[in-house]
Amino acid sequence: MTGSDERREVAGRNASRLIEGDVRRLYSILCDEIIGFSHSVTVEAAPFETRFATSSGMYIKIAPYRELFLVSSGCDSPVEIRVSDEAALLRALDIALECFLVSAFSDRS
Amino acid sequence: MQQGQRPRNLRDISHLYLSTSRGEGVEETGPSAMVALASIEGGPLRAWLSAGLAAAFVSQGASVKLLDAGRSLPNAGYYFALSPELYLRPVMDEKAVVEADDGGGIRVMSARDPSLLRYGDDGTGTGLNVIMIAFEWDGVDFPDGSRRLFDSLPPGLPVFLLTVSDCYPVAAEGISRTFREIFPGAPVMALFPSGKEERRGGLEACPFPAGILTGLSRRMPPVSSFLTGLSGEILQRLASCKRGAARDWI
Repeated sequence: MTGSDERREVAGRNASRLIEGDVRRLYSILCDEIIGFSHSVTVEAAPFETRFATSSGMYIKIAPYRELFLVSSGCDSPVEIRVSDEAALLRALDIALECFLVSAFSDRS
Repeated sequence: MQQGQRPRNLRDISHLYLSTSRGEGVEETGPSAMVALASIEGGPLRAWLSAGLAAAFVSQGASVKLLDAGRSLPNAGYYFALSPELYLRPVMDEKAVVEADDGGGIRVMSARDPSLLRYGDDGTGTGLNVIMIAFEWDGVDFPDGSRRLFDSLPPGLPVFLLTVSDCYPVAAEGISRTFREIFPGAPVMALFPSGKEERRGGLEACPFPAGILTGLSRRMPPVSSFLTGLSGEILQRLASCKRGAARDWI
């Protein structure tokens, strides 16, 4: 199981695709919180997106685009949110959390 | 009880054992009991279980003040259907405290740092008032803020510790010992959602029944016969503590 610091380092690799400042900070916050959902969350830094997943079916992608990033979840009803401010970040985090909780039970069954 | 007399249920009698009344017509406000919930490995169970137990205590006739502290998401505000802008405020502001009142007997305060929480003597009402303190155990000691909350409680208050973890029974023993250094003889129960039944050093283990964790994502306090039964068990043991008849579970 990869430690939180290692996972954060992986998630941070795509942060440079965002301009410095608030948006990059929001990206880091979101990545930290998703990693914090569970020790079982894995992180993959693909060339143009960062992927978070669990073996029980949570799947979240964050695609940075300079001044904003897209957050999409792979749950039953996939949702995509454009994040460039705090309000959008909290909506994205809420959806990511719900996606994690939906899948978390199946991991325990 | 006379023959043929129908037994009263716990809701009818629990207030008699845990109320702080000193005499006819003199009802005191303030907490009747404290239930501490320690989540040993973070995750959603702290908030889910504390919300569900709070609702179950209310169904038994109590009013509840739930103090929820921890970094893990969700926090209790999620299970009381607060908007993301409200329940996720501590994500953006480490000093933020989320407060909510469900209008049905539960008042919630949630923060990442337990030192930001206060139970207060702010009109918890007469009758059965339960303080629930939910927090995360780091494997070594209680968070400073949790200790301060414990220290601020009225002396002699009946207390109960519930631990929840998936696979760390050794940690449950450790926190039990530490808790009893503060509250000698307090009853302790360890919940194991994975369904394993284990006993080490006499620590009482209680597995979750299969399927109870459906609805982890639902934005409302969980309701189940397991939680109702668990809340009743806790109230009965707290009542035993108040009467000075607590059993030593270790």
